Amino acid sequence: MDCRTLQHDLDALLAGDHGEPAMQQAHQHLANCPACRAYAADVQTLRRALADDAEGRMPTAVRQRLLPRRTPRPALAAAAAVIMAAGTALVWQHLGDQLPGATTEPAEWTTATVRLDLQSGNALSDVQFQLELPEGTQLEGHPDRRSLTWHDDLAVGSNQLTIPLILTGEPQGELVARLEHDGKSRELRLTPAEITRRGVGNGAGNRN
Amino acid sequence: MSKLAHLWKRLSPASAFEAAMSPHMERLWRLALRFQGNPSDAEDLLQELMARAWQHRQTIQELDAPGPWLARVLYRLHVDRWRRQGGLDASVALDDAMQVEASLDTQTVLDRIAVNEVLEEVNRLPEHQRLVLLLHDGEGYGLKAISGMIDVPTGTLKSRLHRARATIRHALADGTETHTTACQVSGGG
Ligand SMILES: [Zn+2]
Repeated sequence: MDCRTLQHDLDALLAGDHGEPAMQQAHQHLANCPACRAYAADVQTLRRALADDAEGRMPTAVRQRLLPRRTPRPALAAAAAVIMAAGTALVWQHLGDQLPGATTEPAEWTTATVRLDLQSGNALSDVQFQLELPEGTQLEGHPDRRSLTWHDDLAVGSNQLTIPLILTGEPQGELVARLEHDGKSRELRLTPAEITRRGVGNGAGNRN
Repeated sequence: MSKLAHLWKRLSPASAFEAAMSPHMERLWRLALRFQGNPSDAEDLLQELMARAWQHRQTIQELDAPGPWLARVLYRLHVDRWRRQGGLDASVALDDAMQVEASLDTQTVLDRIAVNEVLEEVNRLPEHQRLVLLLHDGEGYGLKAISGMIDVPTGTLKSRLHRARATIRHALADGTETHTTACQVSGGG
């Protein structure tokens, strides 16, 4: 393997994309070639510099402008007050205006998307779905509901149920999804830890 | 294939749309920042993406993994903006066919340079090289994913990536005389 090949194809060679023998040749070449070692080391340095340069999380204010509905009702979220950065205060003030009696202090909140895989051996029609949500969680679009029931069909095989949640605090119990069909029922339970593990930090109002 | 869904029907269209977009926003934000270079333009670009995605909300809610679709649309919108501003880099195809000679320099270069100087050098790269460098080495996307996003063959991307790295090393090695035949660019093909 020559230096040009190694430097040009460094990532793929080391990742084993060209097979095990090529990867070993590459390592052998690196062990014996100071020029390619220096090149590879500089690539690592460059990678670190670029990764560190990332500006990080989306500012909360931007998120609220882009996803205005994915914001918990302040009235429900008031428990944990957080010191706000100046930039987010305006947004919340604005929200507060729309919601009579709501506090303008945001709580720390995150979203979590819970995905349940419902396996069914047969196609089933008119299955009853019931969701029960623990305190500390809200169903996106239904901020004031602790439980929700509806009917739908299940296809043969895998059915994915996606539950978009807003976490306004630590979940205070299990999330229960209950399916009923023809007198039989099945239940899926998620513990608080399982729910929060799916959380996507959306940041509280303390970052901008 | 799994049947997605059920619950989306229970949500208002706007809520369902935002719920579907939400898991992707952080990644898209970082991409938009990489493309546009500053938070204000990045937000404008994401606003355009949201408008476009809203028109295709059915697709987004039905796709198992809409991330690549969204990244692709974001990139197209970025290019459109860039064209409107007259900033298209006309040199795109010129150096793709050229080979970069192997660097024979036995000393590392970048570990002796301040990070901000390295990043300044990155920003001086031609746009088509800067882009692949940022996506690959900065954001950790694989060449295949980048290829799907910006519609450039992986072989070309590989060359651009190598050229970008070599250019930066070469530029920053300049001035320290001990370095010899680093990274000459020569015509090929
Ligand atoms: Zn070598």
